[in-house]
Amino acid sequence: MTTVRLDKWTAFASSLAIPGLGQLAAGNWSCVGWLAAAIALGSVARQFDLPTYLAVGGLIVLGLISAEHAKRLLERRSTVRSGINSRVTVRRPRGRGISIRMEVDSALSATQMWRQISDLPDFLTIDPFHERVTPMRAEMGAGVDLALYHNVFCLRFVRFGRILSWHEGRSYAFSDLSRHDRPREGRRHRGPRQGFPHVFFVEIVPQGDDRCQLVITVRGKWTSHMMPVVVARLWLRWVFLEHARLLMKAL
Amino acid sequence: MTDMPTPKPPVNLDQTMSEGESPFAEEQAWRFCLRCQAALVETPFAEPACLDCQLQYDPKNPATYRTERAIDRLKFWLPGFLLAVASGVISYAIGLQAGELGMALFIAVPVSFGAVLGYAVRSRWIFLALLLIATVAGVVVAAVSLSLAGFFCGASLCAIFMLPAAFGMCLGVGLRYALSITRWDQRWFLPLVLIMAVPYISLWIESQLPHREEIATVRTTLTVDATPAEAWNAIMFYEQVEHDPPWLLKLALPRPTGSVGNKHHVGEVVRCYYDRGYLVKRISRRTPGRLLAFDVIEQKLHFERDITLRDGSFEIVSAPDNRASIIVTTRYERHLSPRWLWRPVERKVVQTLHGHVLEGMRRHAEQHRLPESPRQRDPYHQPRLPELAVSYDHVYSYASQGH
Repeated sequence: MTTVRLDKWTAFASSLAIPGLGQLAAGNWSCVGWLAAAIALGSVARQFDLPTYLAVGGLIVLGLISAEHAKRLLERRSTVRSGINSRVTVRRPRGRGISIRMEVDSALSATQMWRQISDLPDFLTIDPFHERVTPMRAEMGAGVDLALYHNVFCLRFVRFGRILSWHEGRSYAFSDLSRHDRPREGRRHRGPRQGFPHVFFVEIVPQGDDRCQLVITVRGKWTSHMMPVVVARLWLRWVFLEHARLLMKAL
Repeated sequence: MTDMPTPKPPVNLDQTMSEGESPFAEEQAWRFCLRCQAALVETPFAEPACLDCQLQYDPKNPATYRTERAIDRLKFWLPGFLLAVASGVISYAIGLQAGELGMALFIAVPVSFGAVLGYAVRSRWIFLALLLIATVAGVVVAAVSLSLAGFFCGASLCAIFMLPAAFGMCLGVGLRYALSITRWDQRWFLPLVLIMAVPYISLWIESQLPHREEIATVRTTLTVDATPAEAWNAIMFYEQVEHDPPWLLKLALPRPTGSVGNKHHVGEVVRCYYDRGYLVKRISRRTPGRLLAFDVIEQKLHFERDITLRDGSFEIVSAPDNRASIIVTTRYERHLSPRWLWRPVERKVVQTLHGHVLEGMRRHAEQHRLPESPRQRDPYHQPRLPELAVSYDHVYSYASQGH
């Protein structure tokens, strides 16, 4: 028997379309409340003859809040939370470079933390956009290729990377690059130099016997010319704030 | 619970070699690279990895390879094709509702969606040509489905759209090649936006230009083997003709269902009913045995934006050998442009209509004169239309903007 697991972005889109639909799909009773709120808002707008932009704006805001709630219902959460604090720092390298550092203080020991973060298919999906990660070898180590399945607002695509360094019990680094097609004669093709190539550096900094700090640094290059680098840095700051929130929730 | 596919056996290198076939034949490979979709061949002397892009895979883990190829060639033409069809349908619908039936609608729209196709689709010329036909058909079928056009208009649109769309496609391909050597970052989308804006800009320009009013007159003459008096008594409107109309009239015009009123005196009104509307005619001049003229005072036939019927007449003229010539005249106001493009279509329809009415009159006028042959008694027998003498007069007049 095959069961379909609802992903968080589908729930997000569902609730954005009809407030409460994502919650219903997630099996949460709050769906009734969201649907009632949407109906009530529509009725109030009709009863008091509110301007159309006000009614539509209200429904959009309600849809967005409902969508975010539905998404959060499907996020991973740990029964015993170990995250204490998190910080995100966006640096400003020259040109189109991107450098973001994320620090998560945890109540886990370095050994416990390594046990969690070394399970790549599990740990790397604690991410706003990573849906599934498949290492190409059973044994983790430098040189192992990774397939990183992304889901960005219901848009699914796969990127590829490689574990660049692996220091057992301490740190590792891996790349996250755009898929490149088989080169065809006379045709340009997207390659690993396109589509925001970046590298994750994951490191554990022990802070005593029962505490540690997880430091994730992302360095890459913003290649798209459709979005200015300044806007891209703001966007990525939001993404990594989300990432930090997810780590705090799941670790 | 997630079902995991069972691992497929690798290609047996020895066996394929012994059969004298290439071990790299794609048909024999059961695994394909996740990244480049190349066939994966397991070799005993190297770590399992794609020979084309060097992406690793694990033969024991089906998640690390594909078991079948995805149809990735679709991406070279499907988005462009769909964009062209969508752009064509939307611009046609907006143009039809907002503007007039003119150059913007019948030239700029097909040039635009043809250019979108040529710019966005990377393919060989033969496939592009096939896609062009499919795009035109797609736009027209969508327009007919959305009740933006009838069957006859749809068929006419297919023919009219083809040439400008082909021209647009060549422009699009040329533009793509011209821009491919530049370093312009936005070249993959900004030209498309500009191309798709062309119909709307054309609509606006067209709305600013002065409108020209054109009255067309079509005269058709038929000499019948009947006296002028018999011909006069046989005068009938399209709605009163009893035999089946030709296929062109069935497609182009609404089906008449009946008429009410007389045409015996000047000022009398005849109301003609069709399956999709009605037409009201008022007798304007009547000279017994010679002339019957009428004005169309009301028209609701769903082609008011194409043509507006003005008036018409039946004239009986004596011919040698005690025969009579019937001259049918129709005057209508033309709205469709470019005029030269639609003129043959309109002429053909009106000429066929005249032929159909004249044939009805001929049958009626000659029925007492000729004995009915066994072939004519056959209800399925469709006699050939008589030879017609057709002449066209076009009267041009001009009206200022907003007419």
